Amino acid sequence: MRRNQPRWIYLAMGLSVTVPFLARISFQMPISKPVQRTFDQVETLARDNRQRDHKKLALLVADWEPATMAEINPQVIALLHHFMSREIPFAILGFRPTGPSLAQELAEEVARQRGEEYGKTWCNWGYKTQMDTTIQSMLSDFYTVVREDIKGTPIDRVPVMADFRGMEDVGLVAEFTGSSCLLQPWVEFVHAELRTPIVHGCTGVMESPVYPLLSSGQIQGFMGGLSGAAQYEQLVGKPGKGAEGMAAQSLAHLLVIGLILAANIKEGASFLRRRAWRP
Amino acid sequence: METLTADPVWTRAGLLLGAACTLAMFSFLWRENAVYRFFEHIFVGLGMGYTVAITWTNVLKPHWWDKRIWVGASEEVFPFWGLLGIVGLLWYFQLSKNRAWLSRIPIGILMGSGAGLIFRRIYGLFFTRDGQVTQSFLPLLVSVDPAAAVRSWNLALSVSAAGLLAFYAHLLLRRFRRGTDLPAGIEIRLAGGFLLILICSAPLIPRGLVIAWDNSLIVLTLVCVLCYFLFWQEARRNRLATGAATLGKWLLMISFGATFGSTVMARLSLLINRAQYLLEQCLHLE
Repeated sequence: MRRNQPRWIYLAMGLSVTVPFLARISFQMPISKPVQRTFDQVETLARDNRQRDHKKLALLVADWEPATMAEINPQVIALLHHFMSREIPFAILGFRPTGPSLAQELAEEVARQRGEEYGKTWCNWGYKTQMDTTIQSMLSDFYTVVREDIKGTPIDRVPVMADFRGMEDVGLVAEFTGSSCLLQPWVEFVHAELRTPIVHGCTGVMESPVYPLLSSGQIQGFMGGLSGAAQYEQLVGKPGKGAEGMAAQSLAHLLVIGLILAANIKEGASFLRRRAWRP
Repeated sequence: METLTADPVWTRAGLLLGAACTLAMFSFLWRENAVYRFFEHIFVGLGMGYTVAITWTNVLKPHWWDKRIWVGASEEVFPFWGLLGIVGLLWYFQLSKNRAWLSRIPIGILMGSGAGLIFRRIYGLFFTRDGQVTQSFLPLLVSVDPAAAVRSWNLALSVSAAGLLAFYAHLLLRRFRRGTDLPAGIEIRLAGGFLLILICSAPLIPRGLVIAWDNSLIVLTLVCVLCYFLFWQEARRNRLATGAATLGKWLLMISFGATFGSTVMARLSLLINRAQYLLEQCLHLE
C-alpha cells in the first residue's frame, strides 16, 4: 500500500480533474482587479476608436508555445471575442516561432464564429527574431521591419493596414507569454516612449512577478492562468475552456489541500505517539 | 496540407495520435518505461525540428538567403551578408577542442550588442516616471478625510483597546491563579494581539490609511530584503541588521510560497487541458 501511495494520489487527482467535466459543474468567478482593468482598457480603446477618423490597432503579441497553450489559449480566445465584438482591428506578431501560427488558428476559429474576415478585421505580421532590436526598429521605421503579412501580401495592401502609419497607431499592446522577460521590452521601449497601454496574459507561475509592473503603472492590466481566462470569459459573456476548467481546478486544489492536511495530521499524531511512548 | 486537415479520416487519425501521445506520457506516473521514453524523444525531436524549419522558412530564407545571398533573386545582394553567415557558423567551433576560441567571435558580438541594448532597457524599466525604482519611493503618509479618519480610528482603537484589556485580564488571571511571573515573550504576544485586532478592524479604516499601510509594507519589504542580500555579513554584528535581514528572509519565503502556489495551479491547468482533450475531442463526452 505504502509503495503504491503516489499512484493512489495520481488516481485521485485524475478523478478530481475529470469528474467536473462529466458532471458539468460550473460556477461564477469573482472578478479580480487586474482582469477588470484589462477589460476596461479594451473598452477604452473601443470608445476612443469610435471618436477617431481612423481606428487604432490592437497588437496581439503571440509569444506562447504549445507548452503554455493550456493556460494562454482560453485567455486569447476571450480577448479575441472582445476585440471582434467591439470592432477593434488587430494585428498579430510573435517573437517565438510557434506563437503567430497558434494565434492565427485561434483568430480564424473566433472569426468563423463571428463571420469576420482575415485582412479586413485583422492581419498577421508573422514571426520576428531579436525582440529588442526589432521593437526599436519598429518604433523608428515600422515598414522596414514589417514588409509583408504571414501570407506574403505586401503589408500596405492589407485592407486593415490602410491607415496605419507606424507604432503610434497601435492603441493597445496585448502581450501573451509564459515568460516575463518577453513582456519587459514592450514596457521598456513602447510604453516608456509612446505611453501605449499594455495588457498582459501570462501563466499562473508568472503572476507574482507581474504585480510590481501593474502597481507601478507600467502595464495596465493582466490575466493570469486559467482563472484569469475564466474571469475574462465571464466579463465578455462567452464562457469557454477557462470557465470549464475552473471547476476541475477548484476540485483538484481542494484535493491538494485535503492531502496536505491529512499528511500533517498523520505526522502530528505519530509525533505525539512517539512522545507518549518516551520513558 | 489544407486538404489533409479538412479530411475527416486524417482529423480522426490526428486525434487518435494525440491521445496516444498523451497517454504514453502519462504512463510515466506508473513507472518509467520504454513507451514513455520513445514518445519523450519524439516530442523533443519534433520541437527542435519545428523550430529549425520555421527559423529557416520565416527568417533566414526570406530575409537573408533570398534577399541578400541568392544571386538573381533580388537586387539587394551584398557580399557582406554572406560573410555574416560565415561569422555565425563560427559558433559551431565550440565542438572543437583546438579551435574553440573561434566561437568567441560571434559570442563576443552578441554579448557586446546585448550589453549596449540592456542600458536602454534598464533605464526604461527602472528609472522612467513609472519605473520600478521611481515607484519604490512611496509616500508613507497619505492624506485622508479627517472626520472619516477620526470616526473610523475611534472605533478601531476602541475595538483594539477592548481586545488588549481582555488579553491583559487573561494574563493577570493566569498569574493570580498560578502565582508565577508573566511568561517570556510577552511583548511579542502583545504586539501580535494588537496587530490581529488592527487587521480585524481593517474594513473600518479609511482608504488613505489603507494605502499608507500598503506603502509601508512595500517599503519595509524592500529595505528588509535588501538588508538580507547586501548586509548579511554585517548582520552578524549588528542586532538591528540581524532583525531586518531575518524579516527579509521570511518575507522572501512568503513571496516564494505565493509563486509556488501559482506553479501548482499552472501544472494543474496542463492536466486539465489534457483531460479536456481526451474527454471532449477524442471521446466526445461533452
